[in-house]
Amino acid sequence: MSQTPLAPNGGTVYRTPLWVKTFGIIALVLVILLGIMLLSGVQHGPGMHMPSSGNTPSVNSTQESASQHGMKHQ
Amino acid sequence: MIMAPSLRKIVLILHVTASVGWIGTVVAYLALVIAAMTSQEAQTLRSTWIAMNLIGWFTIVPLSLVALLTGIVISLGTKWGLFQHYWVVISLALTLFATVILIQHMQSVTVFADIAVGTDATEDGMLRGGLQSELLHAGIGLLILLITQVLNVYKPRGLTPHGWRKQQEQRTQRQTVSAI
Repeated sequence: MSQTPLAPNGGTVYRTPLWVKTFGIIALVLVILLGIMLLSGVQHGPGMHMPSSGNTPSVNSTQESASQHGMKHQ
Repeated sequence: MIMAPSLRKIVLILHVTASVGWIGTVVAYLALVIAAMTSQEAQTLRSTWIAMNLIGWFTIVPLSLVALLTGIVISLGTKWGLFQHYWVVISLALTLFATVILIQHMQSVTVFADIAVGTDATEDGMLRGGLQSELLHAGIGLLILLITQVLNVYKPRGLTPHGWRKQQEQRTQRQTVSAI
């Protein structure tokens, strides 16, 4: 087993398995990327899709409004 | 404390059912998100947000809590332990992380579902914009659940420092007893 190699005194030495190290490095990289994304000002949560001022309808919402009134696009 | 085999099997059935059910409901949730993203119908968009809110709170969240709790119980009640093997610790961390993010994220889904219940057509752009975040959250959530599933099935070898110390102690005790 990778975590139980023999020590000079005949006992065993603890060693972290390779797959755990690989897993940890990947997780660390992902956490750093997420941290950078959040620190760089990318908003998170329901506020990220809310209009900043007033309820200005977007192009999509105008299309939806039209389709609600029976004006299908297809 | 090691659980009795009959009790262990009941908890294991609950754990497997909740874990697999959680994956299934996230897949269903993703199907709703994709259906809403690809549809031009405002009614589909609005009803999808309402359905996602219901699926989230009444199936995904309860299943996640059952999976988390039964996972803790079964690891404590078997030889694996909660902090002795890396695959158990990582599974627990991923499940806990997914559950916390899920419950936190569902608050946002409720906000959008409340908007979707209304009849203001000017909100449709906002409802459509929110779907991208749903695709990202549900997609990453599914990936985390699949990684956890693979870990739980393969159970890769590897003791934590705590597990290794415990194993060493048990070995020493056994040697002492056999020497006597």
